[in-house]
Amino acid sequence: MAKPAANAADRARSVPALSDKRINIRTRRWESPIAGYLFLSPWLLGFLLLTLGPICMSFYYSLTDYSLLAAPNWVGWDNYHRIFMSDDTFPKTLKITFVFVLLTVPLRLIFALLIAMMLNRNVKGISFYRTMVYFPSLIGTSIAVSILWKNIFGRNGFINDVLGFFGIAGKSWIADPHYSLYTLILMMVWQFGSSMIIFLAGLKQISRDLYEASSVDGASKIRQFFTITLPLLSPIILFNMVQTTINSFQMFTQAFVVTNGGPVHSTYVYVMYLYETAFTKYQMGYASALAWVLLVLIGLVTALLFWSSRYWVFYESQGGKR
Amino acid sequence: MASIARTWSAVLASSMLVAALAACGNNNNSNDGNGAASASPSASSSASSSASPSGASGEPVKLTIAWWGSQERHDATQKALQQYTALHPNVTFESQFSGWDGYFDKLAVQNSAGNAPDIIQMDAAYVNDYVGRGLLADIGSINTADVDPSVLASGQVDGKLYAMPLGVAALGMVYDKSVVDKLGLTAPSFDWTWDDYYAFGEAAKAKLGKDKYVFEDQSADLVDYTAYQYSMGKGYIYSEDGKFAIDKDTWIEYMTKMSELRDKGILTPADLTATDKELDPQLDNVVNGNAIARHLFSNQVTAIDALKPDTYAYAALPKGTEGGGWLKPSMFWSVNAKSSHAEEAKAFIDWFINDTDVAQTLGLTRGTPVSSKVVESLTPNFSEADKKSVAFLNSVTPTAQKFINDPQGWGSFKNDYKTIVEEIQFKQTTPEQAYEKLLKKADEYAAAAKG
Repeated sequence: MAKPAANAADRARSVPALSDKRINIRTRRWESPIAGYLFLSPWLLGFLLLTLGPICMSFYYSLTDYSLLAAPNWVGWDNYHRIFMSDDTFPKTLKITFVFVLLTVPLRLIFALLIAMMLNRNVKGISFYRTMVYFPSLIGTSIAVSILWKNIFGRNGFINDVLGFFGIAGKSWIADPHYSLYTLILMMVWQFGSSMIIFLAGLKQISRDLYEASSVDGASKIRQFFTITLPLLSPIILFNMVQTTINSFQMFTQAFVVTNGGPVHSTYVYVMYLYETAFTKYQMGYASALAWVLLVLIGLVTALLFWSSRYWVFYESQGGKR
Repeated sequence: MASIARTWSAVLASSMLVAALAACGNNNNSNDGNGAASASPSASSSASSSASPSGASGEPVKLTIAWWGSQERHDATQKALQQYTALHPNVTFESQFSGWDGYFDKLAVQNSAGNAPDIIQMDAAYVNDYVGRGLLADIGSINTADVDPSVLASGQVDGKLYAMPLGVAALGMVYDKSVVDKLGLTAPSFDWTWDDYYAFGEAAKAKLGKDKYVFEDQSADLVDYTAYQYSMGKGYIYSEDGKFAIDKDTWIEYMTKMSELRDKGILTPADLTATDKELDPQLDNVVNGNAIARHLFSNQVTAIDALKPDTYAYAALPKGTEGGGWLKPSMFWSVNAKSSHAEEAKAFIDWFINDTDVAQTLGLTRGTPVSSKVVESLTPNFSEADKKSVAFLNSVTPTAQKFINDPQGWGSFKNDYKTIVEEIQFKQTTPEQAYEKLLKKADEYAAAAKG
């Protein structure tokens, strides 16, 4: 978080120096914005063609009945009406998704913060540990890990082998509707690496002076954590929270590969429903409408998080005013 | 003020993340190998229009061809394609092959992007959908003199041939003969009845003990109930005009009976059933030894035999007042209606089903071939598994029921069906309640199919 800001400041400082040198080249002032856009063009083109274009198209499709095999057919707001009025699956899948998000986000943040604090000390070979701990997240959302997960939590999987060692008879965790969603939550929590790295960077920003001063005053480690670490880290907690919330709402690969939404739709998360509507039922119009509902939903939740942040996020730059 | 701006920029940023997801359908699935093609549809069509007026045989033609299947089928098919190119040096192929999962997802995306393959392996569940939308070409000119008309009929819509059946397969059962022999049980046969089936279940369970099961629970597979309704003389699960025709009493009776078997440990328990994956070396409950028997199509005989040679034997589905099994065209070749090389594609299909040389290469990888001449030419070289497969087919044939393609728009009904029956398996609902849910789903499908 803080890094880009620092870079921007560096850049701001270096600009006058550069333009001094080039002042005679830049006589034709109109050239510079074009050059700027040219440099931006790979990203800009990608954004317009691969992101903004499809977004607009998906909104158009959400107002149509589109089977993919035949041309779209305009139906106005019918799809949205159906989602909220007569779709039984929509509230069900929404509920599953909310349970997933509400459990995943706090667990993952707590876990990531704990690990980050463990790794935030000067031990020999710490960078090796950091790499190892971050490793699962590199391969995190891939199919391979999902398949691995499927095997670990399967009837004859590793978890049951371990339980068996202690004389506990396990079951097929992913195939039991009472537990399947929790195995997926566990998987998402396990992929804490990216949040952890950001926390770690945040922890390093906190001045050691504060800790030293407080320990001179006799503050315990726990007190230091709650009065120094947490407040100073709160902007980063907010960032991680928003990031994780958005990711959790969009969870798909795990549900698709590990449980395929089952058993009995116990892991039928929203995006899974969206996918099946689109690609097994070929109701692209309806699926697009579902995607837009999700978009608005995530927007609202994110707005809520930001609104709440004024009550718990502490910005040093604002002089500690909340 | 600043915080409001921050809020909005964050909302916007998060919106983009989701929107990228909303858009993923358009570019995600179509890009293995075809990304380039999707970017330049105009280029390829202009190139072909300059080449095709004559349709001359000497012009180099590149046919794209897609199929699903196992490794065995991939190998055989690619060899066959090479053989064709050796005979017709101007025709080359770009093949796109995969397993069954996702095959039709990808095909739908390719169709919408206008870059579907020239030659498409089709499944019976989708023939009506695709033909109804005008996506398949009429391929009636192919020589079908040696193909049984009743088999051919499965690829016809309104009297025109759109999908060339490639093989026939019979629905029956597989059982682990080594276990049945070891336990000294009366083996299932090709004319066993439902009573025999239940008796076999009881007897086998008594000897198997607690952690082994007799039948893989396939009650959530619409195929199994279809066979049951047929065997009880109640006809097909869809009416002639494509309406839902699952008989309420028969269905509840079947589901109640299956629940009883599940409680007794004759059927696999729900959590074991949920992880079953047909013909997967580790996950297939019959292959990994959790159960003894399951339903199987005769074209899968070579596949299951390869997993554990000389272990399995085959039987028909149990009889009621009638037979329960049927002959199903295992798959079809279709030609993309928009293909600019339709003639070459048809010539290839003609060769593929009629040529006795390529038949040696292909064997039974797509079921028993449809051409009687081809089957005749193959017989002397049959492997043991092939012989079993053909014997299986011939044993089911006399009592076979009529095979009917899924009505247009009902292709994915079986998925919803599965979820509903799973609720029974996990004891979340009763057969009666489940039937109501089924009716409700069926209404949705009927409404969508009409619209």
